[in-house]
Amino acid sequence: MTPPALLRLLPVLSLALLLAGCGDQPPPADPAIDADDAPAFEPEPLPPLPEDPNVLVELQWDYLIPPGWRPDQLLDDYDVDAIDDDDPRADELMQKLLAIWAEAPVVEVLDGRRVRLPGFVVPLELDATEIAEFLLVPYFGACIHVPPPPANQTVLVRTVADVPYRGGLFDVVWVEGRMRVESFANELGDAGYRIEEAAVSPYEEPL
Amino acid sequence: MPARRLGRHLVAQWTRARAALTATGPAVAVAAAPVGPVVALRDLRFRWRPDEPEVLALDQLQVARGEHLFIAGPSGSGKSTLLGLLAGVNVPQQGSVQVLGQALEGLDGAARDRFRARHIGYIFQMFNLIPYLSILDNVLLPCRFSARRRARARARSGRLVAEAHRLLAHLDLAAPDLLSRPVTALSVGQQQRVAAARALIGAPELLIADEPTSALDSDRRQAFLRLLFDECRASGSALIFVSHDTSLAGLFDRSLALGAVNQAGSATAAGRPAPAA
Amino acid sequence: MPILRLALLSLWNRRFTALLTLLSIALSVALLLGVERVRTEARASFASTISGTDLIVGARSGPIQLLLYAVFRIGNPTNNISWQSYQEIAAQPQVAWTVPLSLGDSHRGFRVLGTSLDYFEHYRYARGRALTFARGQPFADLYDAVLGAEVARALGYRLDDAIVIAHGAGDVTFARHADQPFRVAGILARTGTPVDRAVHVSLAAIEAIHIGWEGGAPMPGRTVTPDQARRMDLTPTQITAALVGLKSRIATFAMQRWINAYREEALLAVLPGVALSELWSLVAVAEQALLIVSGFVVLVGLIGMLTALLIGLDERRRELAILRSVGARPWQVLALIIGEALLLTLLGLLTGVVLLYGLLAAGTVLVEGRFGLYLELRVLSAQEWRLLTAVLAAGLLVGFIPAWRAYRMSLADGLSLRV
Repeated sequence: MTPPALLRLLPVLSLALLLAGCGDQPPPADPAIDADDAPAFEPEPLPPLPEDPNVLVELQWDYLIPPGWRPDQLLDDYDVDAIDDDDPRADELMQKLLAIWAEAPVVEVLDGRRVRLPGFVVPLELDATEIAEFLLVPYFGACIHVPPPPANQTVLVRTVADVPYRGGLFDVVWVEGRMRVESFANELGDAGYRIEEAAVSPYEEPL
Repeated sequence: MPARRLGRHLVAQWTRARAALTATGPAVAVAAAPVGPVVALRDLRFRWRPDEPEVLALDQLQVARGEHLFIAGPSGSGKSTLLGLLAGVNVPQQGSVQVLGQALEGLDGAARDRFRARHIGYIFQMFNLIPYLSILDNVLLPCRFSARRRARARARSGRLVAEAHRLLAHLDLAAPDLLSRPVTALSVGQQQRVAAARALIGAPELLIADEPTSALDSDRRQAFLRLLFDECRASGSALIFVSHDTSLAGLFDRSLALGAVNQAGSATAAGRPAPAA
Repeated sequence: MPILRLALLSLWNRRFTALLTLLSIALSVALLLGVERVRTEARASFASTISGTDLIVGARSGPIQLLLYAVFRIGNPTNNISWQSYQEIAAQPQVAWTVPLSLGDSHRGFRVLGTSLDYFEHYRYARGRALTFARGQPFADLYDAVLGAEVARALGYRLDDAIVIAHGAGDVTFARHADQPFRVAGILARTGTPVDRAVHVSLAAIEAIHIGWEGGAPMPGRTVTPDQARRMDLTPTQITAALVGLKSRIATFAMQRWINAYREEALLAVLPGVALSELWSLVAVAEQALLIVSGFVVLVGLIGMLTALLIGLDERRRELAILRSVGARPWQVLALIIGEALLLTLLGLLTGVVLLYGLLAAGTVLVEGRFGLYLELRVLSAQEWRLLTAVLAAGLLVGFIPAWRAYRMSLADGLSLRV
């Protein structure tokens, strides 16, 4: 499957990969149906957030993407069917996509809210067994075929000062704390989603 | 301290009891001590296993307080079994074993062990002493397992060690260089006397001796018995002495032949291995 | 407690056997704790080597390999990265700082690291601690060198001493850059990391000493004197690796992907935390195996104790009958044997811990000198206490076997004479 065709299915993939990892690939598109005529993928509307920011809210990763952010619209500028792997335009496209993802817009209304979010741990500061700071991502692994999670699907987590998280790479955890949001337009080191003084606990499948 | 008050109370009791004992021989109970025989067996039936024949069948046997009883019985006549019942180690299938008025068959194992620690002293035929304990520690052993006995011993001489020394001295074991030796360095006669001291410490009401003189030379037997009798009399303990050597019977207040009273026949016939003679 | 006293006296009576049993338990415990201690200290030592760095960039090899040679100076790089690529990375808007690293030379067994002054400013270790100078300052002149603490201590260097750098990792005479000696300008304070074992010089100095060495060996007539070198353009063309710090850690993934997909050169960017985690999982199997083997050794020690107790049991039937005759209950007989087992195990544990600390104290300098691994003499960790408790529990269980036999024997024998 060529990268341009894959790129078209990116929003779908980033959710499907939560379960399938990097192994499975989506079935090839039925040649009888032209992909351009296929109905645009509309995600289900998310339940609204409570008024009081101190009420703990259990987030899904979709909350972190502002509605209407459609990076795949970039693909409309390119005739993706005509581009294959070796074409420099494919590379250019990838670079542009990465640039967009590096400055993905954030949902500012989440700032200051008490939230609870599950995800995978990518350690940044670690001791022999304790992790004081890590990135929380929605899916496992770093495959070559799929770009890494965009900046608005990555949360920087710092644990409570003397209570580091005891665990390792790619542990599945619940992170609970107050969300801080800084827009990328500020170009500060703090841009993006952050949860400081987080309480980290192992993830268990809800019954 | 309550122990001291108890001690003084007991000393007062003992002084009166001793006076009564030395004056009248086989003692009758004094002051708060209960009246009655030390041992009372009735309709006793015992077998080791349900499928084995009976080993002991006694209709009745009584031992009075302070009495010295000689039980004669060749090996295999069931005397070790009887001693086991008297000491509360075994329980008869039928009948009653009463010691100091307490029916032992009604007590559970732990209670019988406690009773034995408190009221009974035991002397084996040989190898009486624990090799890794000193002579003094061996003598004081019963006091470790019964508070009552410890109290009585302390009451007698003020300190446990002093009481041990006193008993050993009465049994001709006063030499200090002797007492510092390990038990394995003692002669058989000395070992038996240490065993006697251990059985007597704390003045138990009943002393059971399982052929303690068999390993001694004949000339030492009499000496040993004399010492034993003296001490038993001094503490008012009843003595049940079992042996196959009938020549000693005359020294005792009373003697009986186990083969005559035991209706069950020989123990070896029951398939039970005979104890070492 | 009469039983405890009896147990003590009983063991003392057989003290030669008891001592042997105790020693075997002590040695096995020391081994078990030693393995655990080295395991955790090694991990702590590794993990504390680098902090605050978002990405490590090098030629495309494997993430663990890159981590090992760039940060721990273990192993060798497969290839270098071009200065141009380094500049491009440094020019990216998300990049806050970069530190170039150039490896390949050595001085009397210690690695020489070519780097910029940014190294002393941005390198962090042990959760955010910065490098400090015990003496002197960073390089100012072309031929200045900054020594790690261990280099200075082991070779006895002081400020302004002259040192000569050797080409490659060995210290063979004909491969030395003897024509361009260096001067010790600074000595770093001890960090407990591989920094202590490195000689730091500027990138320009690395270029200078390799002028004329393009063929892999010094060409006669092509090498230069220090004065000539100073006048030349010493911009490096290649470096081995680079440390990168970003303005926002959330941009880490995007930056990493950008570097990995860089068309101009085959590069590899790794997150230090991720690479370290992968290193842990790699050695985890070996660690587990070591721990299991040590566990078995402890078991062997305890079985030795079991044998000693069981063998003595037959001889003690008399003793048990005597105890029963003075009123000891069968459970007290059980407690006596278990007490002996517990005492042996406990004393074995204590001796083992003392042995461990003795060995650690004696060996810590040696280990640090040879392996760069710092074995801290700290108190027992929670995990080590758990291990000790487990051994004690095992000793108790093992002691239960002869104790139960003794219990049954005392019940069955009663007062009968079984010699």
